Amino acid sequence: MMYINGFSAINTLTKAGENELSLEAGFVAVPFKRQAYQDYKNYIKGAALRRMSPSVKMSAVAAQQVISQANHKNLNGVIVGTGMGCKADSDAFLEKLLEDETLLSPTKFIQSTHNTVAGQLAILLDCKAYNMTFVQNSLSLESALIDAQLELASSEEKNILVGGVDELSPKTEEHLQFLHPESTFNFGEGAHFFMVANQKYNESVAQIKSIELVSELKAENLQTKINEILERNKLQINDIDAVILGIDQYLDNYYGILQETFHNSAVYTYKNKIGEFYTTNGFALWLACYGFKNQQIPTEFLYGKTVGKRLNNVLIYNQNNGKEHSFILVQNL
Amino acid sequence: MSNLREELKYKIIENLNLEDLSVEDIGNNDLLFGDDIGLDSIDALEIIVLLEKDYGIKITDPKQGKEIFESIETIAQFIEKNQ
Repeated sequence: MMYINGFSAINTLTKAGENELSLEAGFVAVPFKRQAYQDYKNYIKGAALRRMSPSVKMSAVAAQQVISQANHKNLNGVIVGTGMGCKADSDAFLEKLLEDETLLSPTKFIQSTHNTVAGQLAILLDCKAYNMTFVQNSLSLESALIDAQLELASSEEKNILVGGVDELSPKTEEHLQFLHPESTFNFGEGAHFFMVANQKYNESVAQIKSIELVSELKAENLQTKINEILERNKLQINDIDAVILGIDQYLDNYYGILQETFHNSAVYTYKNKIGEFYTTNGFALWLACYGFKNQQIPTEFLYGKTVGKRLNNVLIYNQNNGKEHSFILVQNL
Repeated sequence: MSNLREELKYKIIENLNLEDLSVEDIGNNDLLFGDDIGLDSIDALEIIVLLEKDYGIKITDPKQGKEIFESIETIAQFIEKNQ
């Protein structure tokens, strides 16, 4: 059993500390918004703040927020998923390495490892328990969630902070264009954190029923996979009230199959609003929790027709150019 | 002479990312690692790299660091003596 007791987001649509959507028409590029959504001085002490990368800052604020939502329960672990880690400091460190490898900045080196975020969160939250980082491309957050699920599969009461974070650096676009030359991404960044537990509390908003990851999946086998997931959770297609799809510039037939399968459900998408990054699916999970709490997902995210059902079961599906498929089934409480 | 001190203040603010401080906020004799500015051991490493990179001065004996890094004034004197 994995219950979500707190959920927090920092991205171009949600300001630091507010956890509320600030919707604008279309996609707004990060550099124009960063000042607006990243005002951390109220949340992090100045001395600590100056050495933190954008990823650490976003995560620190989001983490404090979910811990507060979950009524400051004892923390038994910190698990972070990130596709590219503290990218800006990694870029700076590697550039200095090319200039002169004998004189390197220790701060940039410390910050350029992917597990910096989880480590900094442990220090900030004084959590000496389990600390893990997953770097698994577009399945980084999902891998972290599965690890949390395994950690929670014990009889003793446990609360774990789990989240995904990725930051945009001036070099990110150049690097991603190199990796995906055919892409027309709108790049984004953000931190999405969740307090999960194996106990249901008063503040619990959702239960993650299932997380399934498939690296290689042919489009013709997608329907079978969905059926398997639903069957395992004793659900029918019509029980899914909403699907949240990671539709991006690759308008392939995978998302079309999902839309056809769930033609009686509301279909939402979000990458056109917050941009593309490796842990962007964190926003989909955040949006599902937000939807449960408010009993509606804002119509700005609708992709297709509206279905006015009560929001009980939400299926989140994402994939990366036909690979790295993830299915997260989440239920209202 | 004072140019070096101003330059050091600027470089320390820039390299150590002391966002809330300006050159005017740091006195020549303020304690860099004490209550005045509040730097820490990682900052000391950054200053060691800065001295070597920008002034060609290598600190060979780590024990010297405590005295050299006491203030902008002591760092400036060390540079003037060793350059």
